[in-house]
Amino acid sequence: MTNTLEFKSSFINNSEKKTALDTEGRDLLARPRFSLRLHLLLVFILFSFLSMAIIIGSVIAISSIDKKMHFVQTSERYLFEIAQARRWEKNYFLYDTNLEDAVQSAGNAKTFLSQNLKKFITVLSAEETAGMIEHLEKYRSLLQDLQDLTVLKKNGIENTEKKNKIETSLRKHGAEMVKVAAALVYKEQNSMNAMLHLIQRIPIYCFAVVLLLTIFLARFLVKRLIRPLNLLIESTQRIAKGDFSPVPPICKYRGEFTAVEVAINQMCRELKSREVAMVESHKLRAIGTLTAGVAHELNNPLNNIMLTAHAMLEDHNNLSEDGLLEMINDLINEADKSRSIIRNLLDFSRESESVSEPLDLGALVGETIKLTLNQAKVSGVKIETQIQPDLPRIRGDKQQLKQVFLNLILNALDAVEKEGNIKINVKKADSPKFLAVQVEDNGCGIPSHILPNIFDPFFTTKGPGKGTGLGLSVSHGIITMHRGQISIETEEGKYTRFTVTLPFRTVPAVLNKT
Amino acid sequence: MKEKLDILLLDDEAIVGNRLKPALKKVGCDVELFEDPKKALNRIREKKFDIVITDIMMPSVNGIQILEEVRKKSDITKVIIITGYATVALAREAMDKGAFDMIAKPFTPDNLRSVIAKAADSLGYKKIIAKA
Amino acid sequence: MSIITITAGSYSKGEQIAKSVAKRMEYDFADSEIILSLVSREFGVPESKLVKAIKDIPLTVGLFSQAKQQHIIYIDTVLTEHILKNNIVYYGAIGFPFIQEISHVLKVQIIANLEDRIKNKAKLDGESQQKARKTVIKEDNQQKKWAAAVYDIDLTDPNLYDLVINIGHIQDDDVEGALETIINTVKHKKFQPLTYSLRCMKNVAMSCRVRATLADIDSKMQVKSDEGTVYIYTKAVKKKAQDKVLEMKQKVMRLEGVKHVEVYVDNDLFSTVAHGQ
Repeated sequence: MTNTLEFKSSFINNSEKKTALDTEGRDLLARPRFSLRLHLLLVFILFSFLSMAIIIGSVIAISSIDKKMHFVQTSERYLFEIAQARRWEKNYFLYDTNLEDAVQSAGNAKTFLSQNLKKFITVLSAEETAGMIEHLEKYRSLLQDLQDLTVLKKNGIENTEKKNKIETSLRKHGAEMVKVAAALVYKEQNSMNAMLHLIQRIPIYCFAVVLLLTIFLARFLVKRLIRPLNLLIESTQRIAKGDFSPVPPICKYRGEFTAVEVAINQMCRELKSREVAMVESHKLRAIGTLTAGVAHELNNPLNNIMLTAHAMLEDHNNLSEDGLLEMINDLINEADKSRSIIRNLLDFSRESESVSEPLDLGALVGETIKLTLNQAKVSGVKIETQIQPDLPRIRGDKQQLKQVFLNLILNALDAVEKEGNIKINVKKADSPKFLAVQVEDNGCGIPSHILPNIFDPFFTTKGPGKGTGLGLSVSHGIITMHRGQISIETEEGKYTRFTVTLPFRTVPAVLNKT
Repeated sequence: MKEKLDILLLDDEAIVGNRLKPALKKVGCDVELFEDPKKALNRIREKKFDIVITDIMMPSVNGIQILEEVRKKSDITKVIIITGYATVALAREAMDKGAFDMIAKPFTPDNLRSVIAKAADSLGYKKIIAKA
Repeated sequence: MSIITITAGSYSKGEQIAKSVAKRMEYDFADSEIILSLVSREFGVPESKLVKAIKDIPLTVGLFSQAKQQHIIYIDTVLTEHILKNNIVYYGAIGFPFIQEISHVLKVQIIANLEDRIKNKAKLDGESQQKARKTVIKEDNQQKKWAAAVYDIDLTDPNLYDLVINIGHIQDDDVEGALETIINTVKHKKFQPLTYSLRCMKNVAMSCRVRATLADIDSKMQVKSDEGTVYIYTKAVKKKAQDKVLEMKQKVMRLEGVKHVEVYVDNDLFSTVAHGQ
């Protein structure tokens, strides 16, 4: 029955885990989605638009040049007709011929102008066009008048005065007309040249713009791609060092990396939950080491009990009352001694919730040393202890801190040869508001090439089956949790000194709580 | 030939001596008790005992050192090691350095007596074997 | 008054050396063949089955059939009791972990040049070099794997031995030299029995005997014993634990030299789940 219950509870745990995943995952997933694929799509669209715009722009420019060319041709034709009309006009005045031709040319110009009026209006203002038409009309009507005069002249009526008058006015309007048309052609040619010039430049401008844009977008994309990768690498390194806090959202948006972040966070959570197991398993190893020592230590009181009991068995008839009493007292004392040996071990091995309480660091270190004295005795190592009196109290978890110091001492024991020396110091640290515990051994030291790794989980220099490689990593975790620091100084073949610093409380407990 | 075996018993815990002394007296041994290994060392330098019984793990002086000191003083003295920290390595070290025997704690007075009887036998004290 | 165990690869004259040591020291000689015939006589198991138990390689001993596990326990028991008599040379690797912690056991490993062993075999059995090579290498692997699976030890680890002798080309004077070395070493005071080490050996033999007695009930339990007090660590389905403990205690108490039995039962989760209880 109990077993099914256990299964149920583990099932519940699983579902709890799932909801935990959901809440944490939601933070990551809550961000608006902006995936790399979308990035690429947007960039692609932008470039397509850009090239389309360039194409449309050039088509427009080329067609407008084409139009202008037509217009220039038209204007030139118009100019030509007018110039023709004026030539005939000149001939008329010089040789009295070609007036018909002049009228014809002016008429041509007129029809041509009215045919292409729209074109002219688009280039010139309405007033200018009107002016142009006016001049042309005037010119034509003057030519008409002149024709009338010629008809009269043929009939014998000579009106020189009028002819002269018409001639002046005709020259004036003709000149004006030519001037306007020439200006028009000149203007159009100029504008066409400008446009051609522009069209020549446009590819260069476009190239520059596209180049800049490409550089900008490439940088942007790389940033979007490389930065998350770097952050992820950083995260994994951090995790490798044993910090299992979740990965913060890398950027404002959700993307392909979100899945990785979510996965890493899930891994962190798993690792964190395993870490508890790891701490426990490491504790078990420490217990294993200790048990060997304790088993031996227990042999002494057990032996005393055995000998006393046998003595009583053998001599119970001729023992005095005092003698008997002494033996019974011995039995009780030795049993007590055994109990306290076992209790020390049990205290350490008891699974307990993490409790933060005010602690006397010196006493705590002292108790821990007691646990290891046997081990030290067996390996013939001397432990010197110096505890500064009246140190302020620290706040922390007794069991966990004991485990850290136990670890350091056991490591030191492993490191020293027979008849080595371990010095343990508890004192105020150099930095204010901190206490320091130093565990120094004169053992083999730590080679510098493995120094950066010693706090990594599963890193061990001991043979297979001897160390879990978790000791220092677990210790590091515990000390970090207590807002302390653990540091190491070592010289190969000479010494190793671990220093643990822990903050002490400067404010009384009651105030601290509020 | 002497009637009694001269035994030096060294253990840093008084109870061991207090209980073993009467137990050994019964089988015809003269037992000198020591709790301080240094004093025991001095005594060993003074006198040739038949048998020295010593603990191994003691503050300041190690049982192996006692063994070595006994070996320096006398060839015939039998050294019996009693220890709560018995290991193969210790057993071999003790034997290598000339111990007669080793028993692991906890043991009964009979265990020790039979070992003493063996030692007495090899020393030529037939009488004690009969009694034990 | 000592025990000598000699392990060696096949065709390195290990057996010959072991026998010569026994003869010169006037010690008894035992090898797996002798032990197996004793087992067969005592427990009524055909020798062919016992040979299978020491030749087949499981992934771990837990994957052995119940019968094979029992056979190994029987072999361990007979071996430990057999060498308890002292003054014995034992040639073989079976039961190795049980003598590991005994100070008066001299553990010798003999190693020899592989090529010479192959030549040796080819000559002795009239085989081709190639065939001999195959067999020798196969047997080496088999022995190593078997010890790893059954006892979780690496037989090639020199730390397991007190003495590792390389007899090189297995010439007659190499063999003679090895012989001398072993005899000189075993005479050393280090390897003389002590009250302490004799007791350890007795405890080991007792533990094996208890396991053999209970092998038909549970072939996976662990047993420790000290001076007639027996500690049994076993697993049982909760409901049946009481009966199991009682049965075990009754059986063990009947053994000679047992004064007290303690049984520690762990809940056997696996069978509980498997049987749906």
